[in-house]
Amino acid sequence: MEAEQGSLDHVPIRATWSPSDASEVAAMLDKARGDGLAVVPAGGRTKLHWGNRSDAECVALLDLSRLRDPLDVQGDEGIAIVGAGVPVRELERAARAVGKRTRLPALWDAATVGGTIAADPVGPATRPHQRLRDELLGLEVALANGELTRSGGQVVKNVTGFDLVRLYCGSLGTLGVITRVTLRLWPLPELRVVRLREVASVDTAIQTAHAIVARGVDPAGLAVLPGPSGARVVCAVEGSRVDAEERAVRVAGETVGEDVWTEAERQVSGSQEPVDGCDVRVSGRASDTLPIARAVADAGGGLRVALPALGTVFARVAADALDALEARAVRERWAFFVERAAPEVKSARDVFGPPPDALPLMRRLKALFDPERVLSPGRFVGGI
Amino acid sequence: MDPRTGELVDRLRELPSVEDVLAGASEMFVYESDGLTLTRGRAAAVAFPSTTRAVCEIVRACNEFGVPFVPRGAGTGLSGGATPVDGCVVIECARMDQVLSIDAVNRTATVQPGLVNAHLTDAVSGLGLHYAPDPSSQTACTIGGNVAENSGGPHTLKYGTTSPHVLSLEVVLPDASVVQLGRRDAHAVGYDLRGVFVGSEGTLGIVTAATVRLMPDPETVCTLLASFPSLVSACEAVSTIIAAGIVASALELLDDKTIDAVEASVFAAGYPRNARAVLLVELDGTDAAVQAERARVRTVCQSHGAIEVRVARDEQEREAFWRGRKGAFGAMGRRAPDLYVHDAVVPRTRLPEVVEAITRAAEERNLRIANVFHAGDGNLHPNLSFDRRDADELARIVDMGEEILRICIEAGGVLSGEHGIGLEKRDYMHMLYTDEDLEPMRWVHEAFDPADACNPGKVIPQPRACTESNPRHRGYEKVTF
Ligand SMILES: Cc1cc2nc3c(=O)[nH]c(=O)nc-3n(C[C@H](O)[C@H](O)[C@H](O)COP(=O)(O)OP(=O)(O)OC[C@H]3O[C@@H](n4cnc5c(N)ncnc54)[C@H](O)[C@@H]3O)c2cc1C
Ligand SMILES: Cc1cc2nc3c(=O)[nH]c(=O)nc-3n(C[C@H](O)[C@H](O)[C@H](O)COP(=O)(O)OP(=O)(O)OC[C@H]3O[C@@H](n4cnc5c(N)ncnc54)[C@H](O)[C@@H]3O)c2cc1C
Repeated sequence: MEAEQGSLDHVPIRATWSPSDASEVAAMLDKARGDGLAVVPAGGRTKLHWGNRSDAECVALLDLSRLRDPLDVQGDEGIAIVGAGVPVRELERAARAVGKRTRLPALWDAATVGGTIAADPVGPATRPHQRLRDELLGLEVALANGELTRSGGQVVKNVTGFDLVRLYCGSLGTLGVITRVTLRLWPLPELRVVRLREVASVDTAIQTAHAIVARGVDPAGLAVLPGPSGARVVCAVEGSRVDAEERAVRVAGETVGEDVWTEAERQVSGSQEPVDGCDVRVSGRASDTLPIARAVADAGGGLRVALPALGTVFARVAADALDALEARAVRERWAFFVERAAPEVKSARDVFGPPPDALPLMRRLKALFDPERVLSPGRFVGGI
Repeated sequence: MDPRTGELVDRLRELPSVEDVLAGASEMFVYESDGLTLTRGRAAAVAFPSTTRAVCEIVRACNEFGVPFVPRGAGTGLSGGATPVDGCVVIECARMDQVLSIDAVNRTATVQPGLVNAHLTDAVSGLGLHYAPDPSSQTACTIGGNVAENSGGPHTLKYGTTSPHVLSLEVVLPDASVVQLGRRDAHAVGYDLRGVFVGSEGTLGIVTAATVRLMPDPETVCTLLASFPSLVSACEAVSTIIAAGIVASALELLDDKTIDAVEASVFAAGYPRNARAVLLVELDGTDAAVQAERARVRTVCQSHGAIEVRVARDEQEREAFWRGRKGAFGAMGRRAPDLYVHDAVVPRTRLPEVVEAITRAAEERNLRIANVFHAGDGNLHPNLSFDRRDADELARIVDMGEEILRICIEAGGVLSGEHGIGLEKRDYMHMLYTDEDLEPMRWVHEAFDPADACNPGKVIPQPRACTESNPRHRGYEKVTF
């Protein structure tokens, strides 16, 4: 990976710091600010390729993987309190031991709780009304001013002041470094069924997926993948035994193993190896899924996976097709995000697409949270 | 009215897009508080916009005159969020009550902020859809108020509070510019400003349109009413239901005092008078799932000593079960001139001991208390009846409010689950957060409202070190909490 070669998008990594607890994180941020050194937080490093090329001359990598304390799963309360460096997989195992689960599925063994929250990824298991930020109850965050702060709480319902938790989620570590997380747990379903339907084309597959939703299935996961002779609809249902069985009947198709599901998730993540072309994510309303998939095909891109319930399409396109596809997305009011591309390609654009009209507000926030631009400068939307 | 204010009122009246402007002393009386009558303020004027443009023009005029403004919906808030700061302009959004568009395919609706919560569901029920957040005040409160408070309701247990249902907001910022926060498709780019705006209690700007998610109606709904010989056994039943992995859509508890009040009122729901607690359980989903869960819930309740478990046989009976719960505050309100509806959250498993401690504290202060809970969320509403003309009782009420917070925070809880901080709890924020914790909230405020013009003095306390308090943060006639 790039990080191991000593650079991030060709920006040299001058040092890697591995704090062992939250107060060390805060102290390191304080020092970095004093030294005028930019810091890029890192968890499992499976999404470090997200974001613009930093405008810093060099950066220090703040490796949070040692923040493994606590790993406190409170089954009765339905919450877990964990260090940001705890791998999602490990949390998942601990939760399962008490009959619970989180809604942070992770494919890569290395992915950490903190990195996942900072990146706020979507995947086949993301339900439209249950985003990652809705699962978070409280965060401990080290700020650029060297203070360790708490927001939210440890209960499942809370409107005590501004909702900073949602602000930090998805901010790619540009407002603060997450050191500890309190999140919700849910009961393990009694039964989970993965169903596969093979159809003649991607168009048909997307329509089939919409029909599944319209039938009241409320899938626990839904994805459309290109197949050798057409396309595949993969749908997971979960619940009590009778419930999941009933929903599975409505999905139709054949019951398959979890490996089919895993393949869908892997397609979302793209390759962990360097690849030709760029990984893009284009998103709109659920009903935009089909037009987006067609636009990707028009741009000569290869569909990796479509998530029809979310209106999101993951594709691989050639670097020289990015501009046209982005222009199309802007016209149609779709969101356009280049998740992975060569550093030269990234340097020439804003990977998040045209900035939203709230960009001035976002800049003001960044200037107040991190006036000296210590945290991942230039990496976020609009070069924040 | 000082001449400057008179000039501002004249200016507002000249704005063609503003429907109405009230400025008479008796008219201001109606707006001096929200549902929390413990705080009051006297506005200079109340302006009624019906369009986004009108809101911009009102805000611009206020800025020009250096007068603060306070957005208001239906005024049902319970923490003083819409209480005017003395001399301000109240921007009353109630006439911005239109459904602007409905997208049945993608299950979203775009509405104006003054739309009454229940009217949204009425507007889409023919499509088999509904708006999930359902505060007990839903026949009166507005979507704008709900967004500002991040309101919850009985069904928050399964479907979440307001925030997950808000996709995007059109907001008039305190500098009178208009900005879109979030996106209609939920794929927002950049910081989640929509997320931080929801629950900001009218301090960051004025919502002029909201695109919200609509949910498909559940195929089957089943409501059970279980009565228990003690509050503790009812709480234990709740814990067991959750531990069994049953995701109920609502788990609501009423204590004996509440049952008495409800049964003596027009909201009488047929709750058993001999019970010490009534638990309402609602299940929804596919027919098969609901039937299976219903049997399990019944067994759990019986194993915890339920006196009786009833299942609503039809929609009429279901509504009757709920009538008592939704009318509980109203029923209690009949018993004394004033009612203080408190709101706090504790870890769910601590509910029984916390309720016991709160009840004891009320008895020690010779106060009348009745409890209603969103038990599945650990969200409790101790309700205190009082007469604000009785100075001694008023002092005990204020002291009790603080005691409830102390008990809840000691148990690992927070200051509010759904009614917000407003003025009521602003100065208690330090019970939960340090000044350093609060600093990022101040930054958020500073980014949106650097001039501190919009609903000043709410939610965030002055830093403890600050002895000189901001003059804008005074100007409320407020019982000292
Ligand atoms: C709903 C959902 C679905 C998912 N689906 C998939 C899937 O289908 N496929 C898949 O592969 N994975 C999936 N995941 C897992 C996930 O995509 C990533 O692997 C994970 O987000 C990255 O974690 P990381 O620790 O490797 O972060 P890193 O790559 O180390 O960091 C990611 C970003 O966050 C910043 N950062 C890291 N740690 C912190 C911190 N503590 N504080 C502040 N900023 C920090 C970094 O600077 C970087 O910008 C899913 C997760 C969720 C929640
Ligand atoms: C009987 C009763 C039962 C209740 N039950 C519940 C319940 O179950 N759950 C719950 O969460 N709450 C409940 N509440 C509290 C209250 O109804 C909610 O807080 C509601 O969301 C307030 O809406 P409103 O329109 O009355 O707002 P208001 O009281 O008018 O205002 C509330 C806040 O919103 C701000 N505001 C209003 N409109 C806008 C706008 N357009 N833009 C920006 N800010 C705005 C105001 O400045 C204020 O800070 C109850 C209240 C009562 C009286």
